[in-house]
Amino acid sequence: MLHASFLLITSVALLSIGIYGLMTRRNAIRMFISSELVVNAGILAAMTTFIYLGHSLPAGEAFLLYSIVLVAAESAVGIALFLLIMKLFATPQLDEIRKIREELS
Amino acid sequence: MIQYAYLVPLISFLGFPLCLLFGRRTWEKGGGIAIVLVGLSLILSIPAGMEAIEGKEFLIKLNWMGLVGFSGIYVDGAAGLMLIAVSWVSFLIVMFSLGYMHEDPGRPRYYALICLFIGAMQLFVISLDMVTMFVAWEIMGFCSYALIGFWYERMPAMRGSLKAFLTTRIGDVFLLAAMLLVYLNLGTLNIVRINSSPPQLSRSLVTMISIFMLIGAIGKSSQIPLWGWLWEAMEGPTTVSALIHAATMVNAGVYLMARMFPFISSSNTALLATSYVGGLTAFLAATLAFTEYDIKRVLAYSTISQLGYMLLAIGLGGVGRGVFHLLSHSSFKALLFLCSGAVLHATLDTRDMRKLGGLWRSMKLTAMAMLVGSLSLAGIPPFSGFFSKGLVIETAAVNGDTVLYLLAAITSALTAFYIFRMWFMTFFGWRERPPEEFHVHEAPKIMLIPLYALVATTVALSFLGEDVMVQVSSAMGYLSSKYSEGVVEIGKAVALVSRVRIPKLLIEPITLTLAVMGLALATYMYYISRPPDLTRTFLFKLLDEKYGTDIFCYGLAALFREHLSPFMIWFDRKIVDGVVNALGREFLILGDYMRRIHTGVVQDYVEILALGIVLLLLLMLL
Repeated sequence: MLHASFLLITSVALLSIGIYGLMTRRNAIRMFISSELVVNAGILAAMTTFIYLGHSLPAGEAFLLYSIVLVAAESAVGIALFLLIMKLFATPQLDEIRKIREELS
Repeated sequence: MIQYAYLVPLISFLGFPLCLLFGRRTWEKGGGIAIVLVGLSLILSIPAGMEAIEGKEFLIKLNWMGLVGFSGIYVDGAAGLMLIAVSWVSFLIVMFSLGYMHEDPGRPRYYALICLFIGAMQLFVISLDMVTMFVAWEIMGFCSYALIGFWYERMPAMRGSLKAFLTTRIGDVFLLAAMLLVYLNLGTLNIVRINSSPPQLSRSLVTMISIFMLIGAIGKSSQIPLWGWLWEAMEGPTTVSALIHAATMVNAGVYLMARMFPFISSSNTALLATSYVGGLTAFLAATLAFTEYDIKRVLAYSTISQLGYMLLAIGLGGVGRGVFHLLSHSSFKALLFLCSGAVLHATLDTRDMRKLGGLWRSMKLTAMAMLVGSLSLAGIPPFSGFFSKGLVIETAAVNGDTVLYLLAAITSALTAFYIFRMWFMTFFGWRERPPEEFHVHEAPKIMLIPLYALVATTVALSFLGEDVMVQVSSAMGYLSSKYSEGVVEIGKAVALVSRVRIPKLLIEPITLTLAVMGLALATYMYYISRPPDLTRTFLFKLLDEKYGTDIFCYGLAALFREHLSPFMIWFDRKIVDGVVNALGREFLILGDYMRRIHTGVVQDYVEILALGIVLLLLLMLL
């Protein structure tokens, strides 16, 4: 069995990478992937605590399974949105899209 | 049948939604519904009331919002009598309305409100406790407001309805205060229990509660000083006036005093106040009628005056006599009002008696009916007014002091004078025939039937006279056996100025002589010769201004308007609104600052999030 700290460190690393990605990237797809990393970091941390705090009830696992499904659904919605954005603006660069919006308004 | 008594008001209440919803599509635009329902409640009330008069009692306590003992029905002899009287007179008035309101476009509203009004009075009469009483009392207040202002496009009607509502409201507040005091001190609002409880309370408390109840009755029954609304209430349809004066509304105040009498009777101050308010109102209201040319207002003053008689009798211990006068008054006053309604119907709503006159030839049937009503009001035998008023005056003579007796006796002369002044001015008035443009015609049958039914009632009541008196007295006897004779010896307890010393045998002849004198004077002045023009004299002006009570009330209102209201407006605008506005302004300014961090750029938000994580980490490390 892995040590809890290993899992938690992985989780923190994922979170940091995700936040770094979110802050530095302007490409919508990259940002989306980064935000997925953040969410998964959260799920991993939660799972670790559920397992290592010794809860015998399957509630924790069920709960996390539930969140994973939700995240999957949410990513489907997100990808649909990006497809629309690509169709409308013909670019995935969010700062360029913002410029177009400011010019329009 | 008595166990179905609670259905009587319910059936009448049913007319309110039915007339509003289906009135437009039915016969007479709701008139059909109203007369059927009021007729049904009359049919039900007669056996129920008769059983109650014979001595049965019926009591239900209802569960009202989880509270038991705050509402219920109590039918005893007095309630039974009143129930029959109210239903009977109301039924005839609704029947008369079918003819009188025939051309009015607002009939669904009219009949709906009439049904609600009648139902409220029936409920008031049979209520067990003061909460039910108060609810019915308020419904009546609202209905009278809505019906007086029925022709709301007319300015005087609007003013009259508002005045009625606001004036009676003053009385209502005091009645509510009395209720609260009773509840705080006795923990019950059940009338029967209240009536048996005065010994538990201190004398001053009983006096205070009784005086508050008296003020409530003063407002409802239009006594001094809250009498201004009743003559302005004449702006409504005449049938409404008849209903307010004969069957519902004003009778409620007197009935309240009669119902609460055992409680009130343990306070001599309250009794004395009641009798003096009654006596003074009886006298002063009768004098007001002398200078009035409006046919309906003359009747309004006579109602005020007769209600004064009832309170006089009740204040002096003659509860049965007061209620008997109430019953006989309601029959002949309904008769008088309906007759005046027939007159107005024939003359395009001309209420000024100087313009009327000479109607005798074309309206003999109405004139005869009105003559019966007038004779009854004037107290000429063999009509019911003679007996009932005679009993009231006898109470004043036996139990009252000289002032009260003189007030009561002189008023009977005044009454005979002004009512025959009205009768002669309307039907003769030195005119052979009325002006051509009126197209005067006799009232249609649907209006004449109720008139003659009321004539029959008036005559019948006078033959029943003694019997009904005994019934009423014994019905009131539930209150306490010592009041069963209708007259209490309170003369010993109350510090009367001086007792009247008239032999009992002479009381009735004196009253009758005074009434006949008034009648003769009216005949002489308004039929045989012309009255002198007194419009310039001081007395005429004083009476025309109603002793200045209206000026006083309006002055008081102006005082509030000009001195209190500006301050209240300042307080409301600067303090109450000011605090609210200042708060709103501060939040607006705060919002202006706060919205600068909402750039709409995801990266900025993530930076703040990261900053938060770093802060959390720092906190954990420290």
